[in-house]
This record gives sequence, C-alpha cells and structure tokens, in this order.
Amino acid sequence: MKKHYHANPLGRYAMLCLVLVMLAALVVGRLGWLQLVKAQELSQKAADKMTASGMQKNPRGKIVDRNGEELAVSIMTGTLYADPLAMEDSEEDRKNKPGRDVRKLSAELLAPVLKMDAAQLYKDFNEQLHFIYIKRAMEPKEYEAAQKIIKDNKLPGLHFLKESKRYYTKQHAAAQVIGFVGTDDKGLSGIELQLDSVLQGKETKYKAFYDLAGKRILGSEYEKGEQKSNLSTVYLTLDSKMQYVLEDAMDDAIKRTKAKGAAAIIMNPYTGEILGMASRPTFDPNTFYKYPPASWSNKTISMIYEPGSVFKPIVGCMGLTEGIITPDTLIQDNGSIKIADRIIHNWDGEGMGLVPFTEVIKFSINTGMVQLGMKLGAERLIEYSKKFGFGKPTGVDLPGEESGILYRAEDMYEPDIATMSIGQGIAVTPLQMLRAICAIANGGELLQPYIVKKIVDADGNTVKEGEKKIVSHVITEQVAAQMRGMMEKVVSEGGGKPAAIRGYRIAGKTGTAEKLAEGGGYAAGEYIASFVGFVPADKPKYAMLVMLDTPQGAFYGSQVSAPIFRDTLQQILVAKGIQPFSSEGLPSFTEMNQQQNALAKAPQKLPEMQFLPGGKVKLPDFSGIDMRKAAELLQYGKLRLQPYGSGKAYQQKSAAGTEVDEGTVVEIWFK
Amino acid sequence: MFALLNNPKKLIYFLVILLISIGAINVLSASYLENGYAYFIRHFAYGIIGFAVMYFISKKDYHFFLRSNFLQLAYVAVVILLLLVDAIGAVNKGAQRWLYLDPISIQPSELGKLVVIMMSAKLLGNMLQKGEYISLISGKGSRGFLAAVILSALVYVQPDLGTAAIIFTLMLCVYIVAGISYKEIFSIVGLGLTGAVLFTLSTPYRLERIKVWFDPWLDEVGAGYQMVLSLLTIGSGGLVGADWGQGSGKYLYLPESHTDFAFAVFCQENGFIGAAVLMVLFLLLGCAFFKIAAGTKDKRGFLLVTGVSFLVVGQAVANMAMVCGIFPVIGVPLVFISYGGTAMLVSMAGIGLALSVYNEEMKQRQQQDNNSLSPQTRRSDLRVVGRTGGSR
Repeated sequence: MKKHYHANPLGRYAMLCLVLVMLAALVVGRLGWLQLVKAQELSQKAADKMTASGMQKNPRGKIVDRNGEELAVSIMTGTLYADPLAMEDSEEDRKNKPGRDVRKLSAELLAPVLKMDAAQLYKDFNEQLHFIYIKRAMEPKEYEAAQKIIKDNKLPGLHFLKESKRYYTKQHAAAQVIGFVGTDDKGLSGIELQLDSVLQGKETKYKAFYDLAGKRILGSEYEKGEQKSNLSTVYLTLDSKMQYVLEDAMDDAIKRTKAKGAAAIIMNPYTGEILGMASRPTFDPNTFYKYPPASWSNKTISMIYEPGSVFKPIVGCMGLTEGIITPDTLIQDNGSIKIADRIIHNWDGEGMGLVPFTEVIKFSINTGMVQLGMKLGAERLIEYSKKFGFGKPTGVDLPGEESGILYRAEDMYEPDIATMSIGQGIAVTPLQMLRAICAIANGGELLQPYIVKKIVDADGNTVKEGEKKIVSHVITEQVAAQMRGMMEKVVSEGGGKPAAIRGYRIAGKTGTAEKLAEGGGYAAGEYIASFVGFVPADKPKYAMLVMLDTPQGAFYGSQVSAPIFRDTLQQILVAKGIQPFSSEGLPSFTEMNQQQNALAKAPQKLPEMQFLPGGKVKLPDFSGIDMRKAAELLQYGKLRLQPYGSGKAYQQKSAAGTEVDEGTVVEIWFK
Repeated sequence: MFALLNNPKKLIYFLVILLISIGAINVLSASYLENGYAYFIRHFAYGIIGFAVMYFISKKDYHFFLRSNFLQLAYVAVVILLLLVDAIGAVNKGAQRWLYLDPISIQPSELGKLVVIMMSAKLLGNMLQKGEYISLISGKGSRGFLAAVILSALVYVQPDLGTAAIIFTLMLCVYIVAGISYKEIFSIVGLGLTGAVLFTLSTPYRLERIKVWFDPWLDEVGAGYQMVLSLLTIGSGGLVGADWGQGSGKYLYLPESHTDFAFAVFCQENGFIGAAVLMVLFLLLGCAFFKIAAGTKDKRGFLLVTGVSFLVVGQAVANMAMVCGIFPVIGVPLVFISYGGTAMLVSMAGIGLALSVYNEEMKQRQQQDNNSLSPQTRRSDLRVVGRTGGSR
C-alpha cells in the first residue's frame, strides 16, 4: 500500500481547469473560423437552404356567356392536409396537456366542421404517412372554422394549402357544355376539358424564405415573378337567357313525357354560333360526382340516332339539286311501296294519290321519298350526305363528339336506299342534323358550328376569336329557298302545326324514328321524337333542334317535340324583340282569354293590354302569370320582354299603368 | 467588474443573473416563432426559483447536504426516479428522459449529476482528510465508483448514452482531482477510448455519426443534418451577428434550437463577439469557483466546489464544443442559455453549495481571526468532520 502517495489536489484541479481552458480556446478558435473566415460561405448556404422559388397557384380562368355573364368562376380557398406522423404533442407540450390523444381530439373537433365522419378522420390520422389530404378546396366558411379549431387547440400536424375551388354559378344550366374540373383543378369534361390549358390557373413563380418544413416565412417574400394574374376568360357563344329558357323547356318536357333523355340546340344559322345547348339527363357540375356519369355526356354531340323524317328535307334538296324533281313534280302515293322484298308504309298507311313533291315534304309521305331516293341511288345519297356533313364530326370545339354512321354506297342494297331516303339506316348526332338543316336555312352554306366566342387574356387582349367558318356550299340558294318554302308549309299546313307561333313564319320538320338498340337492330317500342326548324322562315335568326329519347305515351315528333320548339322560341323571339311579320292571325284578346281559360282554367283573370291613341300601350299588372303568357301578351302589344328567372311573374318594370311606346322593353321577374 | 474578481461570491451572483437574462432572451428568440412567450416565461420562472434555491442552500452549512443519510436518501430517490422513467419509457416504446408530474416535469438524470458529485466529494474528501489512498478500484474509493457507475448505467438504458457519459466523467474528474494515480487515470481513459472505438465500430449507425462528426456535409440530410444546420446557423452570424430575433436558425428548424443547440442561435444573433463574450463569462464563473476552491481548507468542500465547477462550466464548454462540431453530438446542456428546467435548478443548487462552502470558509476564517492562532479551530474543524461522517 502506497499509503503516502498523494497528489496535490489543487494542482490536479488546476490541471483539469487548464484542459478546460484549452478546450474553450479551441471552441473560440473554431467559432472564429466559422464566423469570420467561413461566414460568407455559410451564410450563403443557409440562405440557399431556406430560399425556394415557390410556385403560387392562381385560380382558374372564368367561363362566361356571350354577354359576359359568369358561368364558371374560381376562388382561392384552403385545402386541409395532415402529417399523421407529426400528430403528436412534443415532449414540452405533453407536460402542459398530459395524456391528450391528438389524433382522436382532432378527429372529434374537425368532423362536424368538415361534415366528415369522425371515425374515418381518426383512421386517416393514424396512417403511417407524412402527407394525406383531409379535405380539398374547402368552402371558405369551413376553411375559417377549421383554421380556428387548429389554432385554438394547437393541434400539431394539420396544415393548409391554398387551392382554387370552382363554382358553377348557374348549376345545371349548360352543364354538359361547361363540364367540370376534378379536385386538382384539372378539366375533366366539356369546355373545362377542351380548353383546360387555357383556363388552368398558371402557377406564378416567386422567391421567398422557407423554413425547412416548407412553410413560408411570413413577410419574407422578396421577389415575385409575374405579379399579374395570368387568367384567361373564355366567352362562349351561349346566351344565358336562351339557355335558361331552353333548360326550363327541357325540364318541363322530361316531366311531361318521362323521356329517358333529351337534347336541344339553338344555333345561329348564318354563323354557326351555338346559342343554347341542353342535354338530359343533366347534373350540377358543382357536385358532379353525385350524379351518374351518363348524365355528364352531352347528348347533342355524343348521341347518335336515326333521324327519321327530319332527314327528308336533306334528301329533298338532293333531288332538287340533281333536277330529279321540282316542288311541283307530281308523285303517286299509294300508301305503301314495295322495294325488293321490303314494303314501306306511310305513317298512317293512307295514300294521297297523285301529289306534288311539296306535299310529300309537307305531309312527310314515305312512299314519295322512297321513289325519290331510288332515283337518286346509293352513290348520290351517300355523296350528298357526306356533303351535308354526315358521317364525320362537325368539328365543334367541344370534346367527345361522335361521327355518326353512314353506309358505304357499294354496301347498300335497294331496301337500304329506300329506308335511308326516309331517314333510317343513317345515324346522326343532333348537332350534325341541325347543321345540315342550317345549310337550308342560310341558303346553302355548310358551317362549322362553334361555341367559343373568344378567349380574352388577363390584359384584356382577345387571343382567339371564334368565327364563321364555311365548310362548303352544298346547295344553291334557289334549292335552299324552295326547301324553306316546303318546310314552312310543314308548320303552317302540314304535320308540324304544333310548332307554329302565331305571327311568325316558321319552317320545320318533324321526325319519329325507332330507336337504335345498343347491340344493333331496333329497340322495340322505343322511339326518338324530334323536331327541327328555324324562324323566321324567310330570313332565319334561329335554328333549333329538339330531340326526345323514348318519350312515354305520345311519341310522335309533332306531338312532343314540336311544342317544345314553339314554347322556347316564342319566349326567345319576344325577349329578343323580333317582331312578328304581321299581327294578322294573332289572337284577339278576348279570344286569348277564352283560350287560356279553357286550357288552364286559370283562376285569375288575365291582365289586359290597353291600346291608347298615338301608338301607346298601357301596361297591365303581370303578376302571377307565367313567362309564356307574358310573352304572348307583350307580343300582342308589340312590346319586348326581358325576363329574369322562371316561374310566375312577381315584379315588373315599368309598373302597371305606365304608358309605353311600341317596341319598349318590359322587364319581368319570375319565381 | 475587476473588483468583483476579488469577491467570488458577488462575482457568482452577478454572473448568474447576467447569464439567466441572456439565456431568457435567447430562448425567447429561438422559440418565439412557434411557442410565443411560453418558453421565455418558463425559463425566467425557473431562473427565479433556481435563484431562490441557490440562495437558500448557500445560507445553509453544506455539511448538512453531505450527511450520509441525506446522500443515501438522495441517491435512492434518484435511482427510483430513473427506474420509473425507464419503466414508463418501456411502456411508451420510446426514449424517455422526463418524468411528468403535472404541472412540472423533472429529468432525474440531471439530478443524478449533482448527487454523484456530492457523493464523490463527501467520500473522497473524508479520505483526503485522513490521508487515505484513493483509488477507483480498491478500498472505499471503489464503492463511490460503483455507485456512480450504477447511476450511469440506469441513465444509459433510458437510453441516453450522452448523459450517462457525462455523469461518469463528472465522477471521474472529482476522482482525478482527489488524486487517483496517473496509472489509473491513463488506464481508465485508455479503456474508455478503446471501448468507445469498439462500441462505435460494432454499430454502423454510431460509426456513421462519428464520420459525420468529422464531416457533417457527408450526410447532410441524414446523420449530419443537425450538425450542418448548426454550422450554417453559427456561420451566418458573422462577426457581430444578425439582428435580435432575425436569426434564421429557428427557421432552419435546427432541432433543439432552444435547448441543446441554443448556443447556435446565440452565435447567429450575437456573432463571434457575442459568442466570445459568453465564453468569457463562463470562464469567469470558472475563475470564481477556482478561487473558492483554492481558499477552502475542508477537502469535502474543496472537492464539492471543483465538482460543481465541472458541472456548470465544464458542461457549458463541452456544449459549445459540441454545437460547433468539436465534440460529437451528445446531449449536454448549456446551463442558463439553453432551455431546461431541471438542468438549471440542479446547476443553481450546485452553485448554492459552492457558495455555502465559501460562506462556511469565511466563517471559519473569521473564527480563526477572532481566536487568532488558537489550535482550537483545527480541532473544531475535526469535530465537524466527526459529526457529519457518523455512519462510517
């Protein structure tokens, strides 16, 4: 035992202190190296680490109608996402709030605000992930409420992103045309899909300080790329008012006829602009996912069907152009005709004897059309059909357009030629059919229909403009005029009478065809009832097609489709101030009153229009009457209607009793 | 200020108040963004409580705290707390260092540091007084060594290798000062280094850590992440530092920016000058302890003060060495500057003990002056020893 060995403790202590001082000196030296010599380099590295040129998402561009009325708009809102693995209180926080289950608490607090299931939320919060979307593009109110809850309760692991949310202001109006976007703001159908690259909210670049968790440091944005929002606005050729009338008529038609589907288009026959376009079944693009996908498709361009008699004017034009017939050429109608082994009957089986061709169109005589078709032959039928634009898409600026089906001439047997001349054995889309009729209406020009009027960029420059595009001249003005005359007779004297609007010259053609079954052949007892026409017949402003798919009960085009045409266009004509060519034939007031009373047994007396000397009219009180009646009244007084909403009138301008001049616009609100 | 150097007591009070204030401001800057004033207020509250503890202890004779039954009680309490923490940690399947006793939480391993110092000072002080041979492995010295190793082991299984190593090192420092042979010093240091190397090589992730220690940019997004951020934070401070609160270290999400790595934020905001001043303040604190130690005749008091100086100043320098990359990352706190209630209270208690040693020494000297050259003093001193060491 070296009992006497003893170190000097103070010396040992001093020695250790010296080691410590040396270490301290080393630390200071190291700090000097880092903070003085390498300062520049390290600062730069730190700044680089925190600086990110971020991308800021701008909201999607607007879609508006031809007058700038908003159809689809976007606003920026919050998207809630979670970092489930971070949803735990830190050790420090746990001291303050011991034992709280952040995930459970978050789920319970947020479920009512987000209108989501708490159990599902709790499940999401337990995912072994660092990122999961909880609710995207929230309503602004939800966003604020969720923000408050997260802040007040200091819930960790819950964050927001800025995302844009799309609103479709007119709900189901023109839903299939406008389409919709998915949650990532990508256009999925309609114009939203067609012009996705134009509408998509461009991302603006900017530079800012970020912390390493990716959060932008407040107020640190020191460089912003493009300041201006680069949003484009898409103007459609649609007219919201017409669209409204059209949608209303469609709803009404579906209710009355219980049809499986429907399609209607209003077009400017001289330019190819689509003014109204409706399809049934329909949906609300704001909540598109709640509707069956079938309702998303635009039947006006995607449904193909046999047009039936509506096709007869086209065949008629072929005959007139080829000189096979004139309007006065006499044709023998025996009620039925046998072609090869096939017998084709008139719709009523009755024969009219020797009739001029005008009558064949007017009364939709099948035997007469078949005779013309046989004279034309397969070659010319198919060739002209192609010239009229059948068998290939019209090229309208909408996605999902079908081509229809056209025989090859060499494949056609005689019965095929016969049936095609009455509009069977050819499949068309409603838009193809209407466009072909427009060629008759406008004097022979086959147009490319279009729906995008213009695209305006953020600076207000028009970057693209839709314009009239003539595909070809299919018939001469003379032939067109002859056919217009015949089609006018269809409405004034023939099978299209229900389409007549008193005071206007209407040209049109009805059609009823058996529906094509999905696997080929025909679907028994299912019909497509359609009507196509234009007004005024001599110088058309509007061309319109109405097609009902499998109406229940009455199924003739003249019974179910022609009245829709009439009701819709009557409102539009009055609204647009297109005056009747004469007041001749217009009902007198007493007559109208009686008519209305007889029709609807309306409890209230119809308001009366008082004519004053000097061409002035004293306005009645319109309240309680529907748009159609109001339109009729104003039409009678040579006034114009500016309707708002639909339903019964409840407000008007000018007020009842006001004396107004002829041609004055009367605004009426309906609800 | 230089006048203060002659009065270690006043110097310590001055430095403690100054360091707590600096720490509070730094904690506020480091944590304000995420937690507002919460940490600042708590840090300050701990400072005030700690100050009261320090004052109370300094007024009491430190021999009271070195009584065997008190130390045994403290040791057993720490062991129980550590076992409790280990048990809870096992249940929670994660590292556990705190014991939450709402509304406060304690970190038993921090308490362990002080208990080890006090036990070693008591044991070795008594042996020195008697001129006994001091060894780590034989005699009474080995008992203290064993007790400290057991405590370290309990901390190690938390698992907290860093703190376990610190507890062991603090004990070792007291032993070195007390006078273990150089043979033992070199053996234990050599053994420790060899063990550390073998240990490191046996587990790949530790090897990674060591590689990263030499060059943190090797694995910037992995093991070197914290170190790289720490160096960037320090480096971007430059000579005079960024404006207060504008330092970006907290935005870099430097982990532990308000606790173990608070010094990095401090360096960024105060620059090289600020950091150097802080180092000087700690060294001054060390000087004060050295002065007290040098003037203390009672070997237990002497060893207690040296232990406390390692606890406060040694840990501080080690922390700064760690934050600037000289030491590998071990969880050593920077007392006063980094946020941590237990570490602060423990350090203040330790400082209180050192002040008590000084106070007692002054009392002794006064007595000595009163009965000048009376041999009684020496004897009375021995009586005190006899009284407190009753359980031998």
